[in-house]
Amino acid sequence: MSAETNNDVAYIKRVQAEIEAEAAKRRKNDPELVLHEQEMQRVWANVVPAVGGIGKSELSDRVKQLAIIDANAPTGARFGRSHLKRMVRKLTRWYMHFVVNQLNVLHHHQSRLFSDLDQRLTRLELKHQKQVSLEDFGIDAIEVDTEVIEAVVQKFPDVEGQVVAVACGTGEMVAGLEKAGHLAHGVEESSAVVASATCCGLDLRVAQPVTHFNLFDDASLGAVVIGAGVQRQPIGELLILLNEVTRCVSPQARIAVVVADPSSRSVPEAELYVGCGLTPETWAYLLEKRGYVTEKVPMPTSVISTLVFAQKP
Amino acid sequence: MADITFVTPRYGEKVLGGAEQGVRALATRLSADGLDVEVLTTRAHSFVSWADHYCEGTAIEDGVCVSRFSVDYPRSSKFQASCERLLPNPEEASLGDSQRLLDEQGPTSSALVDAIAQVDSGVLALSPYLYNPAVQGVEVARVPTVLHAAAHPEQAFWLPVFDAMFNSVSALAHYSRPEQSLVLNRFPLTARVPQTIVGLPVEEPNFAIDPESARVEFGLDDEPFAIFLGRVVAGKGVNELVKYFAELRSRRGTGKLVFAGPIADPIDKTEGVVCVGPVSEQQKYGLLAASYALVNPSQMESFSLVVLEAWLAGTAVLVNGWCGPTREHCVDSGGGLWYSNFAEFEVAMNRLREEKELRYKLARAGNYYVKNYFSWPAVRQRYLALLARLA
Repeated sequence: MSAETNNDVAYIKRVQAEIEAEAAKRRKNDPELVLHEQEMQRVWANVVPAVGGIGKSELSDRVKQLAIIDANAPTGARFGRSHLKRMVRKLTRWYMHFVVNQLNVLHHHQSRLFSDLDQRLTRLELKHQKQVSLEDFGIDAIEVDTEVIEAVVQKFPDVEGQVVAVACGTGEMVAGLEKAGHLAHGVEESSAVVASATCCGLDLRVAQPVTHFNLFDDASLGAVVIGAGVQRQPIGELLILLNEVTRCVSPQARIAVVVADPSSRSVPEAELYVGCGLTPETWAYLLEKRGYVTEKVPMPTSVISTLVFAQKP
Repeated sequence: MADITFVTPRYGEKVLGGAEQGVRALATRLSADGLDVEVLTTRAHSFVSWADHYCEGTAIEDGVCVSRFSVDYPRSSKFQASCERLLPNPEEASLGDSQRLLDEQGPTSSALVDAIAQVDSGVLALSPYLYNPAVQGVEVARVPTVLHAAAHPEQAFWLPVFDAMFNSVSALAHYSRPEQSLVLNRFPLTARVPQTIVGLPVEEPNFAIDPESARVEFGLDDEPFAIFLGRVVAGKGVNELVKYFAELRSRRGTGKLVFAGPIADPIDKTEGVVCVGPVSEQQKYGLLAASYALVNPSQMESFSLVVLEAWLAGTAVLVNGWCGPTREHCVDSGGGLWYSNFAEFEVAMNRLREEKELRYKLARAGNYYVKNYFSWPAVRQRYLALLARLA
């Protein structure tokens, strides 16, 4: 993007924020406006019913429907002991049926609410855990140089199956792997980074790495390249990621860790990412603990000073 | 034997529909670039009746070899009732019921399916996901398949009948990042196949854009107006837009909104709203250039050509913030604003109308975005890179 366009994008972001703030102010000061909005939005709701199954209101209706006790339920007209027994049996059965239905509905409703709550908590957690973006401070993400890409490609001569490049940035590693004939795709958390690479036609996906690996079966991948961007994740996340990577790769698969040593960070980066990232030595140790044989390849001229390659013996 | 065989329910210059126009845009341009391109389609022009309109057989149209086949039967009269029965809870519909719904919707053409089954070289590119030609085409295909799903969060997307198709295609060509996310969430197994955000080619018109003629032709005075462009249909959010506009006008006292496009669902008579009906390409660009903003209220878009065309015409856009793809265009380009409620709509419309510099900057950023990311060379590079992964 040109500087002029970057300025335009920043300007529009500001304008959009101003519009949202002004609208929020108007909504706060004018309760009638909110009522109007609700009324107008019903027009849309009438066209498109709630997406994906039962809506909350429908569920509540079902709860209500099942909760109604019918006082006129037939219990028979004759008197006598056997009739009384029959009536008690019938009432018990009716009552049990009612209770079971109530419980079912309650469980259904609860699981829906728990699922909602879970989603909200996840969003909240993610919001709190979200690391400061270095882009905001004008510190660029680490770019992988050609020397590193070539070294990785050389170590992946006969990969069978898909290759996933984690934290792929703008996709240089994916491009290198594709050029070498591998079926590769990249995963990157930042949609802005991926958007800037859209023109190149690479298979780059916006997702959290761990979530992305959830989509793959055990032993279904040919190789994984763990990229420099993961170093901005807390250590706990990295361990979960490593577990997912080792679960998804086949026994013959190779894993490459292409990360810079956290000790080589600039001062602002070091301060902003305290507790994030691991040294190449620790990555190698963790892979060895999981039964891999590792090889450390020094890259003296690169920011990424050591590459770690791992394979099952 | 063709390098690429496109399969689509309808094909033709005058066929309306984003996915169908997308197929035509790709097919004609790839053919012009020297690839051997074929299209397999029905004879229909209308997606409501599927009545035969074009001649049966094979013809060369703009360099593309197009084969058209008759449908087995028109859209069923039971279709609407089945929609009402199944679509409120699509996930609960049985496979049989949802297949019946597709059969009732049409088009079903056994001749077309036979032709797809006979393709034995190159790649089959099917679009959109919603119709039988794609569903049945993937099932009978003998060569790698690329699905241009044109998916958006409509109820039918959750029907189980599409699981097998999405899970067995060889590659996915998406129009936008939100479309890719939608597909990955609904069909997680698609994570295993190659996929790229290809988009669609949008190129500058090869005629001079004349806003003044458009104003005169449609009897529009000097009052500034916003424009809605496309099929006027409830599913595209036009009723909501009319309500919003009526409220805006009642609060401000002035304002004009022009609807340009075929009217499928009549809209409420509202002061300040002008419907000009279907327009030609020249008229379309003229109206866009004459307006102060294009408003796209739709939540159901997978790409939205009109937004990009507005930027080519030098017009700012305002989109529905609940629509992922159009909002993404605006965020990535800096060429548009979005609203999520009436208050935001009101503030944004007022600013767009009043601030010339804002309109200029929006249009400039949008124009740069279209020319860089959606020029034919850029789209071709992405699409051919995807096809190369199938080799």
